[in-house]
Amino acid sequence: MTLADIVKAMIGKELQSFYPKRKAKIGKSVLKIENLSSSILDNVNIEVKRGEILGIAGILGSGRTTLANTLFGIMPPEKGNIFLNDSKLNIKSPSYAIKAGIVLVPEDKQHQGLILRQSMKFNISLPNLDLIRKPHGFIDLAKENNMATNAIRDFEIQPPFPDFQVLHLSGGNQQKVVISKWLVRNAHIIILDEPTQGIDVGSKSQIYTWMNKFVEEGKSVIFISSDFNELVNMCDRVVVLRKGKIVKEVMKPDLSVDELVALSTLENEKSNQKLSVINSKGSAKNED
Amino acid sequence: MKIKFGRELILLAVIIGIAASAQAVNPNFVSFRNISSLLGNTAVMVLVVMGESLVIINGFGNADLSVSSIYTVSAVTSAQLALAGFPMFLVILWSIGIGMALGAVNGFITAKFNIPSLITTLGTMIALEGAILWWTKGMWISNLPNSWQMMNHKIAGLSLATWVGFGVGTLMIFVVRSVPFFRKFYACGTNAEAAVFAGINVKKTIFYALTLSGMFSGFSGFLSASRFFMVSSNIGSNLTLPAVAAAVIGGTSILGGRGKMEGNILGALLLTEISSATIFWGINAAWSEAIEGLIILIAIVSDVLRENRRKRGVLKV
Repeated sequence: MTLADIVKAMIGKELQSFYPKRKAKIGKSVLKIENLSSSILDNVNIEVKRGEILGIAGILGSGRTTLANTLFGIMPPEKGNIFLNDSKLNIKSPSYAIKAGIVLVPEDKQHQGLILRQSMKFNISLPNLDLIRKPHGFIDLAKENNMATNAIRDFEIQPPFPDFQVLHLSGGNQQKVVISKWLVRNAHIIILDEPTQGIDVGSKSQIYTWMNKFVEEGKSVIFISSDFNELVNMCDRVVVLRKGKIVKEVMKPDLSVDELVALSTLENEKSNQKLSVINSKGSAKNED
Repeated sequence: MKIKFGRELILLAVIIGIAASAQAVNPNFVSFRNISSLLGNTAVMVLVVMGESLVIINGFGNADLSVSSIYTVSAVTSAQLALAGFPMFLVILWSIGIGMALGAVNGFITAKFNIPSLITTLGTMIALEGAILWWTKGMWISNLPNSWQMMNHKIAGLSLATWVGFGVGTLMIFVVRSVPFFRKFYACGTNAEAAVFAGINVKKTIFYALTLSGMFSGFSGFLSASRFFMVSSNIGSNLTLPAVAAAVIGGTSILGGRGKMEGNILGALLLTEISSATIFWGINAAWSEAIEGLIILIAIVSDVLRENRRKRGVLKV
């Protein structure tokens, strides 16, 4: 049984392409991260280009979520510079990042991405209240309703009721709400931290399609995932993080799951040797 | 936005029911005189309740206990300013300003040092009570100029204080519903972490909530005091708990993140009505508090039950 067969059995229809194809039109660099250090992150340099899906590969504790949170202003950087379109950013809070056009779909959608006890409408409009304000400062309630119903239609969120409590949505639909609340804004860069973790195959495929659509509009995606298969299939370039440092950057034709796994888990040769020495000593003791 | 009347309708029915039963015992209950005095007392309370409610909405375990002290400080100092001959508009500005300033102190301590607002305001409540006692030596402020009693001025039979209190209350219904600033209160109250990830500064929100609560208490202190020709130095005592109670009865969730201003107005009305009705029923005044307590318990239990039903998906938001 192949993956395609399983997918077909699960969602009842043939998925033309589980990983939708895209002709990448990559422009000049948009976001430049220089010598960034912040808690576990150590001297990280990354460049994100226009129209690019940049993957960040790494295992737990590699600093990938720290990188996402730093770029979004949850934890301000200790050292280093961040440039967006050649102007220096001083990202000190999420609201600053949102205004600058950098948005984040956080790893923990239930606690960080959504306010579960509120309605879909509330969640979608919350970070976008500046877009639906009347000139005198009040919220345009009709516009707010439109924003929610449009998002629900565009992202095929089920059930399609704006007043429905987010708590009762399925995992896939919850994630769609999180992503949709950012896509109604005109952000330059969207950071997706494990966006497909724990959601159904159909929603997964939809999220891939939106990622492609988003970058085709000349924007950029930073795609963090521990599913190296989807990184290989979706990304134009992957940066591998290990213990807060960039190990290697791999470009598209050379991407392979095996290499990403090896790069993100294996220590370099020297420490490997040390490790084996310790292991052999340990085993020697055991034999005694 | 669809208007849902669930709790508001029930409250209205209870208010009418109590009025009917008091009327049955003593036909003077629904007299113009009693109703106007009842509305006057409610109007003064409404402002405090709304400020309190904004703090409670801000999160689980949040409350402003210092409303009574701020209310008293404002009433006493405003009266002294009026006594010293300051024009009334300055006195009004002072009452709002001193309330805001004391509220801001609450907010600053709470936000800066990450202390639960319940604890911060407990401290400021006790400190301010001591300060008032020292400042007034427990004396009443009398010999106030005629202009002081401006809030007693009658318009269409109701005192100016009634009009101002309910006017501000009605305005707040619309303001809270559709000003982005207040949306943030609800977001922080339901899930502070997600609010941070939506670009909201949670500390700023609690600071503003406590500042607003102080402001409303300060203004309400003046509004209440300026109906009388003498101001007692304990005018605001026993105000805090009824304010919390009225907010909870009005539908403000003690879990945070829910509450409507229209509910708060009805909650305040119900509490003042009960204390008046017990007199008309001719039962011991001590029963008034027992009944209030019972209603508060019912309100809290129904609040938690409602939240559980929401979790099971029976109710939409």
